[in-house]
Amino acid sequence: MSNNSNLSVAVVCSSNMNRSMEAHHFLAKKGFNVRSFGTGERVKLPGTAIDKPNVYEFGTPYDTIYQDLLTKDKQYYTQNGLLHMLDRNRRIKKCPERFQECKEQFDIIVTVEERVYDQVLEHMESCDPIDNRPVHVFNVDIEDNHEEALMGAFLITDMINMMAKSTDLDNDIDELLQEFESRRNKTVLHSVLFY
Amino acid sequence: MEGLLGRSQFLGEAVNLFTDEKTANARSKVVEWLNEVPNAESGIKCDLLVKVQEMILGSCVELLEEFMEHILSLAHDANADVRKQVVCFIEQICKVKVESLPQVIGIISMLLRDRSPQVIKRVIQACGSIYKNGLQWICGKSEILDSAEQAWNVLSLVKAQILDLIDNENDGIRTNAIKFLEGVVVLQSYPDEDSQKKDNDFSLQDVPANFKLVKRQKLEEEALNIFDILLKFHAATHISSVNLITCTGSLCTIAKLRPSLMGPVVEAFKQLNSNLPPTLTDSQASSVRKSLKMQLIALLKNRGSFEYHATIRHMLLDLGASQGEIQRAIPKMDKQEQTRRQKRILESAASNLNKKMRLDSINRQQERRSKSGLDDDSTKDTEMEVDEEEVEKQRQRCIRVNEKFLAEQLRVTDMAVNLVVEFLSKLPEEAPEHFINEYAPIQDMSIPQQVVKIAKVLGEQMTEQKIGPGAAAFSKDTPMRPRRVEAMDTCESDQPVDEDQARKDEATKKLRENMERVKGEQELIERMKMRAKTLKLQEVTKPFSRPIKEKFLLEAVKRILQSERQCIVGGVSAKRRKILTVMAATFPDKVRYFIFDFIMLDVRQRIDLAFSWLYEEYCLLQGFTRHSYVKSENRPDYAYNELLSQLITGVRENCELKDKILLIRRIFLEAPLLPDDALNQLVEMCFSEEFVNPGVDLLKDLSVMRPPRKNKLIRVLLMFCVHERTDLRERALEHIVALYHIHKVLPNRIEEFALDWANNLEKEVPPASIFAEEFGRPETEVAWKEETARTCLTLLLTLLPYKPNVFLEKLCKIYTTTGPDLKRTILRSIDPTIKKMGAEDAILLKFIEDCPKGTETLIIRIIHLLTERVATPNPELVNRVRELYANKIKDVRVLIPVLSGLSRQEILNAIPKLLKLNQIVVKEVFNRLLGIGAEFANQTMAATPTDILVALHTIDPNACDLKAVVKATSICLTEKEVFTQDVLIGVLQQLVEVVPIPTLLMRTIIQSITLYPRLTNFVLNLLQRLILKQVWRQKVIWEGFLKCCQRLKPQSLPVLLHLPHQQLVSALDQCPDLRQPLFEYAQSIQEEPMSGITPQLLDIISGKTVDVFIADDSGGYITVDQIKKEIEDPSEIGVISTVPIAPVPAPVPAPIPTLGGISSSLQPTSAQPLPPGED
Repeated sequence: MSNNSNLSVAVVCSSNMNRSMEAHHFLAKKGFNVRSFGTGERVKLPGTAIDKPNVYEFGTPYDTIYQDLLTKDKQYYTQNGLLHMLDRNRRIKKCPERFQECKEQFDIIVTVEERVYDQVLEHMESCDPIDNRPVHVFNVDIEDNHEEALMGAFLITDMINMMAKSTDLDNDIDELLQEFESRRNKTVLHSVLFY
Repeated sequence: MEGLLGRSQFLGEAVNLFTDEKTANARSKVVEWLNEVPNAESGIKCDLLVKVQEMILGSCVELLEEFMEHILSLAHDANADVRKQVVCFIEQICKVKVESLPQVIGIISMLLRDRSPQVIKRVIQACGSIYKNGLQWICGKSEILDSAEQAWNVLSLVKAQILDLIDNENDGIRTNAIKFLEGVVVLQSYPDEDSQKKDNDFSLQDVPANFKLVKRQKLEEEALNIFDILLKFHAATHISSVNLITCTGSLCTIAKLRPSLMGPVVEAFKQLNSNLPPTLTDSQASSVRKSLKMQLIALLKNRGSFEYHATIRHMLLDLGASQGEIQRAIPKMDKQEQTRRQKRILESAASNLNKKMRLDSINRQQERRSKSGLDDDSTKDTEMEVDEEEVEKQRQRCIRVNEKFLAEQLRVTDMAVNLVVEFLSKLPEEAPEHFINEYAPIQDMSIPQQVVKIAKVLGEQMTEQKIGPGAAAFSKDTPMRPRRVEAMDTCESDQPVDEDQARKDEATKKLRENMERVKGEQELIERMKMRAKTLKLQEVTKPFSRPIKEKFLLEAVKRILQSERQCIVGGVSAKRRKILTVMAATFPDKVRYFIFDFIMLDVRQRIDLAFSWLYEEYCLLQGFTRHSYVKSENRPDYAYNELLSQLITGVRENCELKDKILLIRRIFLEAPLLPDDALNQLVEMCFSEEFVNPGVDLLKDLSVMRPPRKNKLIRVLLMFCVHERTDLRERALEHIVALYHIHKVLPNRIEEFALDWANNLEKEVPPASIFAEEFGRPETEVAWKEETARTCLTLLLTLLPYKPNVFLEKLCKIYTTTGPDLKRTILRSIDPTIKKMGAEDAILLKFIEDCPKGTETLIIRIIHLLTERVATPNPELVNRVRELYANKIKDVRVLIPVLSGLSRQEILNAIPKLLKLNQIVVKEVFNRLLGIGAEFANQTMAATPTDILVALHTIDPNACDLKAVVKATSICLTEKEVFTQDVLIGVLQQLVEVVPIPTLLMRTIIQSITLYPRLTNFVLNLLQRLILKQVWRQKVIWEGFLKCCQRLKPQSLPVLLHLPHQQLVSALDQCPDLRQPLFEYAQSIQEEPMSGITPQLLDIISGKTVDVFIADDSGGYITVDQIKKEIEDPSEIGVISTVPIAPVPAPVPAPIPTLGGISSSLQPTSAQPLPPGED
């Protein structure tokens, strides 16, 4: 079902693993033109101990990571859900992508925590202007765990759905957001940037 | 391309072949795609356009010319996405081949007015690069073609259009407009060393200095203006959060790229930080603060912000940035760089301040010179300042000592309190200007931090003054330095470079001195105080809740309203009015209505305020005044219309009549716009009894003075002209005539209306269209009523005198077609019209002359009207009527009105015919002829009364019935004033001479005597004359004669005696009552000599003679010979007299006694009353 493919949407978290991918999954199912990204330096996944995270470069296919973890400690990673998540991810796209390396332009960028929002803003500011195309950047705080990611994905989908219904998003956004915030009891940061 | 490849022919050909083939392929593809476009769906259309764009602009630009027009034509496509794609295409064209700008810029300008905001936004976005490329292109051209110049003009226009869009209703459009303006500001200003460098950067520097079309200075001015607009926009209270973030970003970008504008930007950010717009929600506010923080860090990273580091740092701390974050952002600079910058800051400040201080400093310089007394070391004097280092060392040392001292002292609470108390009284009333300019509030710091800061600042100042414990650090006297400088300078004095440097430094020094002079301890203390206060305010205060705000707002407005008197006394009533005006026009409804009610309380005095407000609304409506933050859901003219109609209603309901008339008049005449609502209100008012006259007057004035509304106004007035109400109708008619005739407002419309309504009369029954609520005749009538018919005609008749050729013709036409009832109505209605035209009117005369068939009665009526109360009718008119009578209308009635203009003979000729008319008409005719009654009193008639009466008597009995004549004479004779005794004498004398004797003569004579008994003698005389004329021959006259004699006895007795005997006998037979008196009379004069009374005669009188010739009536004249018998005894007469016997032939007529004799004998009895005359 393609209810609104006019909007191009980017969902950004830090590692392009959990929160952004969950939302990506949802939005793609709803027929949106969506991509997902991470803003971190590298892709970080929790390891067996807190000081031993699994770190990969962006661009490493999900499948590769999956196999890697499978070999490292299949039982552990099955239990904490990482393998399941990676399995889902590899069905959606090939590999985690870094936002800062993407040249594509979007209509809406959604971030999932303030730090990511700041990084996105910073990156966008530091870029040379291309064609002054405006982009709305939103931040919805979502904790980085499976349950919250799922809830967050619902939330983001709801928000995007609402925006897709507007005929003139630029003009309506203030009201829409206010309505959304009061309905969901969530605080949404919003800014307009230009490519 | 060929030039480039021309090095090797072979290679060139190969490449050509290759390119040709490539081009051909591309063309065929493009053609294929474009052919698909018209029938494709909009989504596919866009895809096709993208393909075409990539193909042409990506690889085969040479195809552009060929297909451009076709693609641009899609700018009219119904689908917004397709139009957007076209914009994208144009944007790319301007990147790839900017020479095509003249062809595409028109489309851009057009699409900027597109109905879809999406397209407008896309256009504005595209304009960013188009404008840049366009400017670059135009500046790169050595010679400017017309097309290029035109393109540049359109481009400038587009820029202006976008500048306007910053006030657009659509948030997104505003956002894009801001971004575009940012680009314009950057393009049209100069970069400096700190500007962030970018590739492909273009700025004012790259514009040729003496370029004809584009002037550097102008562009820069424009950029600064736009920059100001952005600053203002940024500072607006009701800016939306998206706009605010965008604007913040844009200002930051400008500041980064053009550090010369950093100052205002930092200032704006500071304002924003301390005063976030109240309309933002919490999350919006945090978004804004976040973006502000990011922008500030970005600014901090720019070297150009060196000057503002302190301010920015404070703001960042306030926004929650950590010290480390801030430190990281500040660019690394070495010491040298830092001092250089510090110096430059001072210099730039100096150049500003110097302007103010120049005179002052010159004076001081001169003073110093004269003091030192060294005329020749002016150069040294300047150069001695070059030795900054030594002085600086001393200074620093001094500052350090002072600072330490002060810091210690200030930590003692008592000291600080004492200082404050001491100087509090010395503070000036108002903060001095320089203080306000330089003052920056202290940001949050701990108390020790503040003490350190104050100590530092104060220490520096004390050092400048060379006071305090640190002063010892200075060398005892200044000569030390000049000497040293001298030594240094001896070798360098003639180097101009150093001189420059020296001058600069000197300026810096002077500036420093100036600045320090103005700062003082007082100021410092004050600053402390103020800082403390401000700090608290910022921290403690919270925005009020909305109801409280509104309450305060309303109360503030109330106070302003109540200050009416004070303002007049204080001479600021104009300002007060302005304030109220703006508030009324732009504030929420509550305030609005409040002010309105205030005006209404005393509208007479406050009408000026109302007008100011009205004009303000008008300015807003027209866009002369702009308030970017006013968002209105209503139509733009709503507020204006509402105010105007409220004002009218208010005045209408609350004012006394006199004021109401004045105020309503003012409102309508002075209001800048008159919407329909207001006019309808006025129309409504006109219906009220008291307002009819002023209302209709106003309508008329408005239709003269408000040409744009004249259609409506005239329509209303015309409607009134046919209204059922008389007062309304008459007033309106009066004005319509003026409008038609004098002002010439829409004469055709008025004319048409008049004709239309008159046309209604041609209908059998009144048409339904004339019965409507608006005419005051809601009920339809089935047959014509006189009143309705008159109303239909009234406008036509009123206008008729001003354009008779049209209207008269119309009137004729209507008259001929209508039935008798309506004809009568028309005849009765035309009085004023015809009188107004007068008999001189050529067209009217012509009309009379022509006398179209069927209008005879109308014409007669007109002639009547034209001659009414006129002494002598217009000779022209008389001529026409004469002609008319002679040729067309045989009816003598035509002549009646112009009788007084006819000749005597004509009148006399007409009389017989006139007599045949209706009795009433005859009476009127005679009134005219004889000048009877006020109506005809002043006219002069060619025929005298005498003539007329004579004429009456001489009318041929065949031509006229005798009865009519009798009546006519009776009419005449009743007019004693006309037919006086003398007149009658004249008439009778003439009549007696007429042969044959007029039938009515005797009747008239008898009547004359009845009227004027004094005529008796004259009549006797006449009777005698009549005897000579053998009066007995006409039976009627003879009878009359005898009757007259009877009347006049006894004076008539002598006359009787003159009758021939036969006639005497006849007379006595007919009037036996004469016999006795006559006999006695005859006897009494028998004795007298010459009496001529013979016995025979006596016999006849006494009736004793039997007349044998009694039957002889052949000659009438009986000779004496014919008498045979005599009457024997006259004494018996009395016995016999009662027996009628045949008349005896009269004796030979006795000589007529002289008139004198008779009159003398009659004299005594002449005055005796006679019996009333028979009539």
